[in-house]
Amino acid sequence: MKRLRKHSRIYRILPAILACLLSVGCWDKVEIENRGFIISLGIDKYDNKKKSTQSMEGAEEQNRYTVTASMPNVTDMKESAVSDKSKDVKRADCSTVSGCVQLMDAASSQKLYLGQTKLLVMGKELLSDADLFRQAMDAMERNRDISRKLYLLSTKERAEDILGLEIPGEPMLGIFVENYYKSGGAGSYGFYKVLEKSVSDLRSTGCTLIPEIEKRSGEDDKSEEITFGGYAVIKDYKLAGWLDDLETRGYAWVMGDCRDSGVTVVYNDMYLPLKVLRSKPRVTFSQRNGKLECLIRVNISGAVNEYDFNAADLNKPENLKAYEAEFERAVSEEIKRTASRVQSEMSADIYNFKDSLRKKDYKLFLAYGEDWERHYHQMEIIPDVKVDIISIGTIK
Amino acid sequence: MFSLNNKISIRQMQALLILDIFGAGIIMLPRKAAEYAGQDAWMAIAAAAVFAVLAVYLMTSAARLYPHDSFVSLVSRLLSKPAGKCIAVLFTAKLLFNCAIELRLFGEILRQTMLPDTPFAVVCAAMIAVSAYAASKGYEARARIAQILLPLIFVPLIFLFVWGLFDVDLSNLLPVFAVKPDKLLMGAARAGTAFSGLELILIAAPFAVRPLAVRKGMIQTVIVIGAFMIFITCVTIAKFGPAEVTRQLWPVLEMMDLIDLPRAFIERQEALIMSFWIISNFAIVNSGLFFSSILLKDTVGKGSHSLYIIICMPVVFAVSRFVLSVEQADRIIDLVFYTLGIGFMIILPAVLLAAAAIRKAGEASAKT
Repeated sequence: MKRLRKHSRIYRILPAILACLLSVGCWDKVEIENRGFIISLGIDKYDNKKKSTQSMEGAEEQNRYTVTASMPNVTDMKESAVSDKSKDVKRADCSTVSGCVQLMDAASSQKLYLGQTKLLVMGKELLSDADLFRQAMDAMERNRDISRKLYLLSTKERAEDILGLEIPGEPMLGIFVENYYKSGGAGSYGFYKVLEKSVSDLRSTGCTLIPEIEKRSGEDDKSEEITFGGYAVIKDYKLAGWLDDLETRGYAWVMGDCRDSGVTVVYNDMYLPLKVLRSKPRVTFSQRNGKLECLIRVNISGAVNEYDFNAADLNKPENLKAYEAEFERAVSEEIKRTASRVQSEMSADIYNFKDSLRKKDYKLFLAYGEDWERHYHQMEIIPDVKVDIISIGTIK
Repeated sequence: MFSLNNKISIRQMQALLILDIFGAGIIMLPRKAAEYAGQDAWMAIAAAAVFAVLAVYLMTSAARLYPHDSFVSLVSRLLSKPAGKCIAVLFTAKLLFNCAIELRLFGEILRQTMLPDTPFAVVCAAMIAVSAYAASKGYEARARIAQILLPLIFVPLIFLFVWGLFDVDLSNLLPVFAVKPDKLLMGAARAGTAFSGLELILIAAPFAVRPLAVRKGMIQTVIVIGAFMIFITCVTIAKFGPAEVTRQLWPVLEMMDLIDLPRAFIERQEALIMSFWIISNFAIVNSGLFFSSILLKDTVGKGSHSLYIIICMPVVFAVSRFVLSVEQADRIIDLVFYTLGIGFMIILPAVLLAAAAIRKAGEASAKT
């Protein structure tokens, strides 16, 4: 009996020990210092004048992409405070995006990991090539490691130049961009774009907008800074043009809440700014004379934060009404300007009105959805803006 | 402290049923339903839930004929002994095959998402070993495990999806009622595969402390499961839109990736759904091994069910070693559901009820 009890104890303990020894995590164990966390990724069209150190020997003629990856330099961070040198930038040329990543991985002592990648920057030449752009987007979408919350940015230069920039105070561009968007930095002039949204737009209409990032020389011409503003307009998977800051806001009025945006009008030779506290768009469609019409109602409430020190009383209703009318006119102009440009020049449905029509008026969608590009081009877009000044600060 | 009579309460049975049904199915459900029904996928799932309730009604009606008899005994009494044994063997084969293919699917996904270098055999063997050990301890042990695991899985999941509601575009569910009836039925048929596992009610019913209360309990459970599936599907479609949902292999997994928890230190919430998947897979393999052993024990009439678990383990392991891609495994699971699954859920109970009516059999008839 004692022997039986002793044996049954062994039969209980042994499986537990075996389970620990055969833990399924052992094969895939990777120490954190052996992981190379790629925070920012850049994709450019291959330029044989700017060859990378990593390339597949014997297959250089097939190179189509240059992929740049920016990773934190953990050693530098451990030894000193975070400096502008606290990042490693790797570059590779290959015929495919995943091929470039594999080349970088093969050349690195660390196991590269894309699961924490925050940012993807795409260069102008890549955006201008439909095939390369499509394949690059597919590579991002298909990769299980890459988060669908990946921020997308476009640049008029090469993405590798942007990733190589040294940003004061924050070495990792991807972290900088993430913090920028999370603190509402984009609120004034548009919205951020993540991979999931861009892919969805491209699948739906073949069009999307990608926010632009630029580098500008600093005051002393020695340092360079980054700045955000504008969008790249992609139509049929190819760059169709760029929207400037004002045109971007004309788009933003239609798409959502432009809180913290500032609109300035000139009235009686005075510059009058309005800080937007809240804006709410509403898009409806109708049919008139066989043509599609799109009515864009935007309700804006805002505050006047600045006026003329010795000027008349802002509290007077007739003055406020006049200013509101000016702001309404200004916002309407911005909306019309952007709509006209994307409709006539680019013929790009960046607003995804096709999907809005499908959701809001299915009957009209069945009538006009088939040959959408033509109907979109001919559609009349009518802005109807209502501004309420609800605050004039602390003085009259 | 606990009675060891192999009987469980209705609440425990409900917990077990939820665990048995939820698995890889829920992760792919929005895609399957939206493939035909588009943004009205939630209606397709509601229709599938109605069919599931009817199936539960049929099965529990059949089980009620002889509520204290095992499945093999029930079928033998109503049809014949050879028929009972043949059906039991077919049911066992179906359960083991399903178990193996689910394990294959699980292993493939695990390899692609989390453990690319770990041999599949190790993952498979570990899961089979743990499931078999739990199954060998009897139905009460399984029920207690389910009661512990259920809140662990579903509370964080519900919290995440409710939080995800703040960042979705509900207009993606428009236009409502636009889908044609034939597409809706196709969507319901595809969504029905998420209810695979319901046929285990036929075998599990006699294990209830109050067998006659099983019907009400199981119908309640199916309604709750259906409501939860509709909620998950609506949130997923609201997030991605119907077109994008149909393109993704595992839309619920992608959904988890997109949810932003404020101040959260976890960057990728999909780890949560993976843990849910692991536990669900454990429940499926565990139930497959347990019920197969029960059926074999009742068919052969000798030995304990643990002996038959030991026999079933290498069979499941061997079948799971067949090399299949994720898509192939998914298609096979659907095929088994549409043939044997529907057969055991609807056709067999209908045949048993018809046989009982013809023979005037059943305990109720015996009392009159």
